[in-house]
Amino acid sequence: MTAYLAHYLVMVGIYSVLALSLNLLVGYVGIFSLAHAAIYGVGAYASALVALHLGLGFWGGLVVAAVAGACAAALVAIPSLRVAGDYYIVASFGLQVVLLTVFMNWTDVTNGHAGLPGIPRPRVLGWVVDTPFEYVALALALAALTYAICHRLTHSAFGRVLQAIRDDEIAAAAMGKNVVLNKIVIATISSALGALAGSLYAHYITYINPSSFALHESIFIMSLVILGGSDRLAGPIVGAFILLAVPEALKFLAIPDTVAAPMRQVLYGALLIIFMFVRPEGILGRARPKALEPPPVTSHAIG
Amino acid sequence: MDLLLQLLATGLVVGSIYALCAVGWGLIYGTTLHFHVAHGAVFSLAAYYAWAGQQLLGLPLIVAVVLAILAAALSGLLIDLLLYQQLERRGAIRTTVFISSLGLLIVVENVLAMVFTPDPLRMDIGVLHDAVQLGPVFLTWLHVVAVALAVAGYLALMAFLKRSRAGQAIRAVSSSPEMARTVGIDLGRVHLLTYALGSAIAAPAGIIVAMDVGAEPYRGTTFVLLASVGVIMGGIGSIPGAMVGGVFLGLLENLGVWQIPSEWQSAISFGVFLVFIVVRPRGFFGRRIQSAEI
Repeated sequence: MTAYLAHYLVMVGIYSVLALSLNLLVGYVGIFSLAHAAIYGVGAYASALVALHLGLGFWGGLVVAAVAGACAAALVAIPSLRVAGDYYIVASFGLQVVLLTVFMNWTDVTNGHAGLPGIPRPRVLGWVVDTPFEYVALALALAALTYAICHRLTHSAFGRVLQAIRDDEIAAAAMGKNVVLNKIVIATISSALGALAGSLYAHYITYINPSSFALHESIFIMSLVILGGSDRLAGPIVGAFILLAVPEALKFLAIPDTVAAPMRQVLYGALLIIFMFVRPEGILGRARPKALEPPPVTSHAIG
Repeated sequence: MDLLLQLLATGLVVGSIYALCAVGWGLIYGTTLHFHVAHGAVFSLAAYYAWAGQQLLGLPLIVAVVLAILAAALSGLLIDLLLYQQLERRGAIRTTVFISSLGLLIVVENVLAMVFTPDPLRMDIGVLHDAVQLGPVFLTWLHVVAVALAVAGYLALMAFLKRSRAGQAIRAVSSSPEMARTVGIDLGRVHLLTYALGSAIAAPAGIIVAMDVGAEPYRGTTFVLLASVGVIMGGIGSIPGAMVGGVFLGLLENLGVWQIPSEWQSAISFGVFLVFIVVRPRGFFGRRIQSAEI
């Protein structure tokens, strides 16, 4: 039971990092990304590969993961954020597909579907992390670090520019803010942080394969952010605590695995719809004042 | 050379299927500005409707297909009526509509997977599976039907949009909702019509793929996102653009196989898409999205 609870807490830590970092985009700039699971995968593969082939330790792996995640995201953010937000949904989906294809088919490096086994356990200050309790401490420390970084970012001048962009892009540009550059920077930071979660995951499970980083995982991370409340820093963490408990609860009902997996997805999807009716701002979110809604975008002649 | 012709023909067939899906999605996006990812759910549902009509109710193939297209149109209409319009009445912004659409897509696909298993469900299509030889190129009758349907569907839609009053109302709303409302057009009803039309034109794409390789629950997600790529490449707001964008994607995937191993197919399309939005963000025929919402 303790081991069970410890695993749950480690996963909450990992998903909190993912959701917090995605929320920098969704909540603070209003950009949706469908590539966060792939970025998570980039972090996992990057740090697993440097650990296996170069013998780089946990800290080195974290740095390599962050850099790799940032590069992958910048590749897509630079072309697609120059144009409007809807492009980024499509472009990020493209990134998700391309990266997953790379994980599966670049077999010389990623070992394809078979995945990479035998990733070493992390060494922190000369101490090998291998008990469940130590992993919980490490995961929660990483989540706390991410929270601190996000807090610092969103409460800085840079963070206020981002929120101005979210609320009214044209006004922000009129105030002399470089909208595109700010968006690209935050997309890159968001991915660098998301990749850290991948690194921890790889060193925790000690085995990775492409199936952990598929599209439905991206959508799941987005659900954590939206259901938790995207305009509060702590919202995504609440989302992670609650939504990760749901499958554990389903385990107590005797449902065969083939039905349980889609059933879980149905539940997440239904929650998204219900929340949009009842509480679109999420569990922790503040209700949006109606008068401040941006006017609908118009004018795309059909013909 | 023969191989190239064969790939060109296959690309045209696949492209026709993408084009139908993209034209439907592009019509809805251009008119309502909803990022309607649940279009993928309609695409998947259409395939299961046709399968159920034939395999469960024992209807003749053609009847099952026609009923499935009507049912898909109704499904699209109900999504707008019962989900999006209700949310908008509560003051929802575009983001909220997008998330509910994503939620619906997840629910529908996974319910299909729970009820019918994730494995493909086969249909009996008789002579449509027989091969046709056109010079050095081999196709099945189904593939020929796919191309013919795409052309017919496109021409019928364009004629409807240009000639009929209802079609003109759709174009009016897509060019300026405010102005359309001022001249007495009921936006809600035009949206419903757009959803029914957009779903009806994408339904044959879902059904043809199901006839070819079986109905599968999760296929819609890939197709709707490819459709949005096709629409952006063709130019947002342009129906001819969506058609060209869809065909272009199909050709790209298949001609790519000529030089690059087939498991990289999807990576090719998206790689080209990324280059495309750098070089020509407005697509072949369209204008670029003006301001950044969603």
